[in-house]
Amino acid sequence: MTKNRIKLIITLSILNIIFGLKNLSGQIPDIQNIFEQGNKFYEQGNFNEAIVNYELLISKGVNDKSVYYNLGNAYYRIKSLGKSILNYERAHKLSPRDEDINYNLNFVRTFVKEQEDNILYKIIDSFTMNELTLFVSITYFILVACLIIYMFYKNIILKWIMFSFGYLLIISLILFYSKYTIQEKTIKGIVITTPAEARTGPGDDYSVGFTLPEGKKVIILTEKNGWYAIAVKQAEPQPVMLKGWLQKHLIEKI
Amino acid sequence: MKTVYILWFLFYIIPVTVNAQNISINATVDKTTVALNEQITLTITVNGDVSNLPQPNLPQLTGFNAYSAGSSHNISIINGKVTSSISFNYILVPKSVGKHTIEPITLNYKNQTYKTDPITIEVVQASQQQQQPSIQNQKRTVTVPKDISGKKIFITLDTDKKTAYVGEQITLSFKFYRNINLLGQPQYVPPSLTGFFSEDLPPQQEYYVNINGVRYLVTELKTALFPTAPGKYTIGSAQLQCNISEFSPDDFFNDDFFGNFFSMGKTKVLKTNPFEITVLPLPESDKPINFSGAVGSYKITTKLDKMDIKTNEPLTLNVIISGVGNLKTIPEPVIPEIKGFKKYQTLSSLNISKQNYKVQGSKVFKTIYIPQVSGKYTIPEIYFNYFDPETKTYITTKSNPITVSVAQGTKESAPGLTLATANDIKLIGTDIRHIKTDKLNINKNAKLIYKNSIFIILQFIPILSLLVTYGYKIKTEKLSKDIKYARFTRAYKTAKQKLKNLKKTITVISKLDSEEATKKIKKYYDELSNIFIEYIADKLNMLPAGLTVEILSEELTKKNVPGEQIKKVEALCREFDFARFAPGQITDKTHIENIYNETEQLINQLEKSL
Repeated sequence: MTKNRIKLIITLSILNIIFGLKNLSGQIPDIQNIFEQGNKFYEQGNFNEAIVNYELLISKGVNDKSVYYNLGNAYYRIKSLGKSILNYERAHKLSPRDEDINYNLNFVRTFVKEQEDNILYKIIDSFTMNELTLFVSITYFILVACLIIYMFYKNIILKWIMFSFGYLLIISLILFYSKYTIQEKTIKGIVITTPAEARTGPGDDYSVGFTLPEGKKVIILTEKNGWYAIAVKQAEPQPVMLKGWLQKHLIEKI
Repeated sequence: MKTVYILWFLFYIIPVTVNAQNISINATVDKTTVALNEQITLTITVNGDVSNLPQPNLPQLTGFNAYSAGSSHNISIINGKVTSSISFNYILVPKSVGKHTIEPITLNYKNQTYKTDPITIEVVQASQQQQQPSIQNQKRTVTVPKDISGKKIFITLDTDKKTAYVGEQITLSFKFYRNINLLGQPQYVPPSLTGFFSEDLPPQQEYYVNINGVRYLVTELKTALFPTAPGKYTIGSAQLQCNISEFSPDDFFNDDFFGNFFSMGKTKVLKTNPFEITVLPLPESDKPINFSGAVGSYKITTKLDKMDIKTNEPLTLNVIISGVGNLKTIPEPVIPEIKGFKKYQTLSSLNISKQNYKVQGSKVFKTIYIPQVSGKYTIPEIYFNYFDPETKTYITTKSNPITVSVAQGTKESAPGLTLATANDIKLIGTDIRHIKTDKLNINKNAKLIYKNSIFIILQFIPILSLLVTYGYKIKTEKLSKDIKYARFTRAYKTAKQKLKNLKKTITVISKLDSEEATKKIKKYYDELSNIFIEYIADKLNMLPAGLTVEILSEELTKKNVPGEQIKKVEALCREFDFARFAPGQITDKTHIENIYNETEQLINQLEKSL
């Protein structure tokens, strides 16, 4: 019993050192309370109070899918579509295969016309960055282990295992790199306030190029004097990439 | 938590469910062509699979006076599915000749609007006989105000009695007397009737009366009033606004037709005087304890739809209360529970007729029982009490008991679901899913692993270990290769050197005596054998120990050494063996030298071929 405990403590502390976990354990009851209070408000139909509680949790550094998901729900209930999509996107990023999150995200997305994602994107989208990282890392470890063994014991089965892991590594690297470029390199934002008028330059003097609906996903390219340069795909009549400048407060980064 | 969830569910799902429920509304009339003095019955039927059906909204009926004529409610349960229908009856009395359209009747039910098709009704002139208001009615008792002399147009408002019990019908009649032409429809403002429950009494009557020799056309409107509480109440004044032309029908022909045509006439507002009605409370003496509050004259009957029934089949009990009085306010009588029967909610339907200007009719209370156990059962008598204002007494009536026999039904019709077809999920509405209420996993790491320096460092471990192992392998291989090479290249030299050293011993041996020589010769041959074997072993990178003749020849064949050389090697080895084990027999110096030379030659040959 005590041995197991010591083991547990040691493993935890090792994990702590490795992943630099934020030690929130002292605040856990407090945080759990705020969360439950928020849920209670939500269930009573007091959505604004619920939002305050969930936002408080996020400001405290809690980065949990349930908080974002519930916050998305609360924003949806007060008809704040942009904020709702934003928080579902955040929840989805943390837990891309969560059924409820995906259902609600798809549900609110129906209010905004977006282009259909292709299959590769959908595959990449269903894994987190960390999962892909670990996937690459584990295949790489196994492949190297196989190589080392193969140096001393040449075996046909081992050779085949090696080849398969070699291919797996290539695939996982491609996925990892794609995910990295799509999710990490590309900064995305959601339009949270309307009317969102994209101008041809960073300033009110420039003319309006196009308007964006609330909840539309945009790619943030650069930032200048409180303006974001954005790129967005117009879904209809045919997919066209549009670029424009939006005031910073109109968008929030995912 | 769960209840909240259910509440939420109700809140968001139910309003949409209406879409899936089947509600239909339709309106029918008994005839589409009607004479001016006839009436039409308009029946609006609302069907639906919900138990609480809403009431339709009657549109503005231009060209008709509409009176409610009660409603009937019908409910049936088939395979556990409730279907109910309500019929609302209205009596329409046309006001003018021509084509009139009954606008679509709408029904609002949970944000959905249901409509009927418009109905066109043709109103024709009444036949000659009926067109003229009957003069036979002259004999009716007409109470006429005294100061009417000279008035061409006036109104009266009166009741049949000034004192009544609570709930007793008082008939209010409004009369409009005129002996001049009217321009347009007069506008009637009914009196305020606070404290009374009122019910229109159609149809409107028209007849002539003679007052002081003047012939008046009288239009009479009757309303039934039911006082709701004891006390003194005032019937307010009724008003009638009409446009009159300045000439009477008598001098119609004298009048300038066109002048009349263009004159706008004169607007006249007529008013009646308000009067008081005393409402008496129901007497307290002899009042039954469970008095229902009904006033009038009623009888109660019960009826079952069938007398023989099987278990789990529905049985409908109709309790009918019929008679004269305000049936709308009649409460539900106590309908008994029967042991072994499952009782469902009671529904009532109302049928009102207004014959002879008395509100009467029947109210039917429908109760569905489902017998659970077979046997003979008696539905007991049902009591109903009321106050009769005529006799000023309380009367209790009862229905007759009914016996019903219940047979055991088939097991298939057992309670529960009867599945005709497999049911699939019915999508009622879409909404977001509910919030997550599970515990927060706060320690869950959300940071990116690939940015973690320790993780990055960890990734070097495999590649480093691979490099280290590879280096080790290369080194060991190279090392082993080096030894082999060294042995290979040095073999000849070493052998030659050793042979040279051995040559000295040959000269030594020859000088020794035989016993000493034998020992030396044995040693000599051992040495020579070793030199030879070691040479081959070095060349082949093998261990010299344990190398037999067979292994040697085999290995040399592998190295493509010519066959004769191998034979020589084999022979030499046998010679060595022989010499080693029997050294005394080979003491001849020349023989020793021969073998020495042979060995040397063979080594030279092998050096070329290996």
